[in-house]
Amino acid sequence: MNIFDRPTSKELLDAVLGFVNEEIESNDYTKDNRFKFLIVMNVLNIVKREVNLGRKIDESFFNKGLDLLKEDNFSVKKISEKIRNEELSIEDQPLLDFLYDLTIEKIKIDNPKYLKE
Amino acid sequence: MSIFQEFLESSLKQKIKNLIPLTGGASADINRIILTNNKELIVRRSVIKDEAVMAIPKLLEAKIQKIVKSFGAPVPEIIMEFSEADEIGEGYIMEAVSGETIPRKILKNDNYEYIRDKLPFEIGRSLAQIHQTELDRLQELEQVTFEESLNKLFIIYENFNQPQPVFDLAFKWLETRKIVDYGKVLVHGDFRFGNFIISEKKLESIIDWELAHIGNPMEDLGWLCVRSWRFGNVEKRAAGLGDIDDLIAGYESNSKIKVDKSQLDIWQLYGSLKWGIICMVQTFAHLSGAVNSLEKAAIGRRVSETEFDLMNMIKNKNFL
Repeated sequence: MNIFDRPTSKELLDAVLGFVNEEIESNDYTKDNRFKFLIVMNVLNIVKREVNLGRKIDESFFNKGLDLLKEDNFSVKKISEKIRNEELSIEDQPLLDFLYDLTIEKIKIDNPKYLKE
Repeated sequence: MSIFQEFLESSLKQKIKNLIPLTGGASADINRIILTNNKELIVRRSVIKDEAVMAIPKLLEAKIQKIVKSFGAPVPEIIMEFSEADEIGEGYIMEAVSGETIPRKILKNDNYEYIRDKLPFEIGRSLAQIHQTELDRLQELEQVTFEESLNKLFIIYENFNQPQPVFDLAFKWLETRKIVDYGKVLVHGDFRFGNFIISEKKLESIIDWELAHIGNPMEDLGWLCVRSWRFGNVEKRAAGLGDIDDLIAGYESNSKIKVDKSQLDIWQLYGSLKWGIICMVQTFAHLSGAVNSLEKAAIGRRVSETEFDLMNMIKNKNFL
């Protein structure tokens, strides 16, 4: 259920992205300001990807994290603590696979181009 | 006219036609000045923009450049140093060396085609020259071992209270490595694309010495190879320009040090971790309210790039 009317948050984001995208092409701004518009576009695209995919990724990694830790609860903080305390070894293959998959999902949101470079 | 410009004109005994602010580092205000005789100079002075500044004082920066130049390394000549009260601050004026610093232009534009292939060797050779600088006159520079650097980095990271499991993994991985002691050298500290002035013919100058210290020579070589400074040319490990064999050959052609590639791997991994934590430093300067900056907010999401690089190196043993 959603009590909010259209435009949805995604549609609002698209409207802002469209506006900024047009402004970048304009000659009304200095080089420095156009560069800042590019950063704005970049940030809005991160937000858009996270709005679209973030919850699904969170849920998926929560379940994978439960499997990895074999505990009732999971957080990235717990994994960090277990690495620091050497309860998880840096040679542990399931840990390495989990963290690698996690970084892939994060970068798909933050900068998908980085995977293709 | 600003007090700063008046000060510069009076010091140089010449009028300034144009004063152009350049993008500075975290601790530097940098301006290009064009005198009425069309001579161009660069002014670098201290300005504290955020809390997490690790930079050395500007006068020490100038001193290093003068010493390094006297040993034959390519750095801009220092024209004048100043240390004034109030808004002028501490800094120096140096020659404006002609050339390009923007990595993507150097990597892509046709006019740099001739020099591109030669740069890894030349950069390696110049770095070896820097590393041979006698340290007697640089006693005020901080000396740091690998273990000390790693500990300092961990303290900075831990203070943010934002656990990144990949960073914890990288710290543990690095703690278990055996570091070769090559002897203490002057480390540039930010030896990467962006801090090189390149012409169509050669490496003209190495700039931005604000993170200089005394340490392990592999730190500069490893930092140069960090993927973040390859600007899309991922397959070319030496700054996106070429193979590390050319870089190492250039270094060894001018040094008694023989580079062990496995040490380079370790220092590159350390470099990626360090860059990831610098991204956190920058973004938390914004999140803490110390500065309000879109750029600093956005850079926090570049941490995942370094996490991806770290996992590629640790899990897949892939340093490209």
